[in-house]
Amino acid sequence: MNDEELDQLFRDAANRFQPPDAPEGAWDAFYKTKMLPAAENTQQDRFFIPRRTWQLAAACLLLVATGLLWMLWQHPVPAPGGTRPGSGIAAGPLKSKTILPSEAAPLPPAPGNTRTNDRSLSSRSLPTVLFETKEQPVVHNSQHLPGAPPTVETERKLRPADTVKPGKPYLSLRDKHTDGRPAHPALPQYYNQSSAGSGSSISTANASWQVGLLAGSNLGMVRGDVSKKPGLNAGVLVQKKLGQSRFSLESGVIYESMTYAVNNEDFNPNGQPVSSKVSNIEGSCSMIDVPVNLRYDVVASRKNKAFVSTGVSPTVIVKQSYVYDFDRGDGPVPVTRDVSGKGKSVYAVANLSIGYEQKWEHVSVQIAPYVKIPVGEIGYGNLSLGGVGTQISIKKDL
Amino acid sequence: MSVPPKTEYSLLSMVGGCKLGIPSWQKRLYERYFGFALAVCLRYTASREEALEMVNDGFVKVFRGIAHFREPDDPELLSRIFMSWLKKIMIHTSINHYQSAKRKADGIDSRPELPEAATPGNAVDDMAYLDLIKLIQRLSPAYRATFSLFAIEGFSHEEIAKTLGISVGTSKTNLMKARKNLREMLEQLNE
Repeated sequence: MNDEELDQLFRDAANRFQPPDAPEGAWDAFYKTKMLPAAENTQQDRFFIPRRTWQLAAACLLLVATGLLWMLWQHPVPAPGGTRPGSGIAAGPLKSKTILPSEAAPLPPAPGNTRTNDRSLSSRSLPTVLFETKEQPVVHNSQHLPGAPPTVETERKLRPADTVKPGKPYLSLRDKHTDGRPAHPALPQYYNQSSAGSGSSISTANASWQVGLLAGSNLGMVRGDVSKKPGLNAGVLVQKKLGQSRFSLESGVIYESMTYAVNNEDFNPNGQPVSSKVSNIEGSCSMIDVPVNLRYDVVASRKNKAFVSTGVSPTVIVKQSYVYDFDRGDGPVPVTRDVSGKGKSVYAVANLSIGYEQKWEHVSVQIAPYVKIPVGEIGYGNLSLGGVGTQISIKKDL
Repeated sequence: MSVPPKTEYSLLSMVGGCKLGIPSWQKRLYERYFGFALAVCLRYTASREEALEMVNDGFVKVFRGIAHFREPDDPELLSRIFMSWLKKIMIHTSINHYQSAKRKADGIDSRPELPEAATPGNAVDDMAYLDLIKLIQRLSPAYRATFSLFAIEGFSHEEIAKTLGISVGTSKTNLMKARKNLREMLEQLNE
């Protein structure tokens, strides 16, 4: 047998060979051992290209972070020692000091405040501008200052501020460290706010109007079958408190994207039953939702609230598409079809929601799981499309 | 009890479904071409188990890369072009595996180049493909790959050299020694 005959022998055998069928369970073993780990590795490789759930989480976090930054920008927290940005107090050279309790003069009462000073003004709410300061030589031992504790390194001669006269600025002193400008021009307002702190917070908590942003995720639901693929919500909201009661009206404009699986019997395009050649129907849609809800605060403290709300949402479908298998006789073929604009595009859903709201000054953050129950049918397939989800909102008092 | 006839799905449908990443279509494609892929991989591996591993590795590449597979305009050519594409993936998967194993073994072929005992069987002309494959599998990996690429796939020595990362001279030497070993094995079977 020469080389060519030898090669031909093997070549012919290979060409004549009838491949065997895949053994039972081969696909399952392959899918478990190869495809799933490969998919996980792909996700790890694409860590910086997040999946939809990561995108939703990132959007929510971004929203919360933006709100917190906004809140801090609107209401900066006074630094320990009482200085406020822009007050001019920090212009003076400050050194470490020890203020003995006996040296602190009694504070004058704030206008309209009848409470005693030691109760109405704590050390935290007391700005240091209440004292005019003068630098003195550093005392290193008690010989120069009989009776002074040995721990004193720097002493400032403290003098009580002038008594506030009604109708005049609380502090009219001019500080040499601020080039003769009023040391704390905004002090009366600040003082009033600080000394009457609780009253101010109460009025804030009862703000009549609130506006905010919201984001969240949803799961589409058709006749009780909840989708496994999450969708996205984002929008703006406005809330109006009804008098001094615990009721509020909520409204807004919300964009929603939703994915859902549909059984053939629940899918009726143009009112007709779907062909038996169609299977594995999966739909997705984008909607604009205008909820009008009545909210009741079950728990309503100054800093937090728990609430229930209910209402209706007129909803407009702006985009919808379907992916399904269609059998033309030679086996099912996957089909993608955009049906935007077909079928009924406006319907209503009933909203049920519970939630929790946490408040800081004029800003609050709330989280509210919800259920949407379809009141009518919508879209190309005349679906009873509802959903479940959670919304996170950041609101600001007006 | 009658068994319902097995649905025959068109290759076009399967490719379309796999491009969308739908597992049910991937399963159909895998089961349809499993045997073909196994027959290819058996020529480049030392055992059926190893070949099965290559088949599965190859199908992972198939499903990852099928989005880039372009169907021909003529539907009649689809099957041939797809099988050619699939075979190419299986061959490269097996060759890569062989080269990886070769690097790990520091270039030392641990498998014997000659069989210790031939499988008793029929005359050479009547030998089935799997019997011949068993002979190929007894070759060293380098001889096996060279012989299969040249004699069965129809590669030239230049292509083999490029594919295996060897010189053209080495490819020719490997082919010559592979043929010599196969002849000896066939003679033992005929005795």
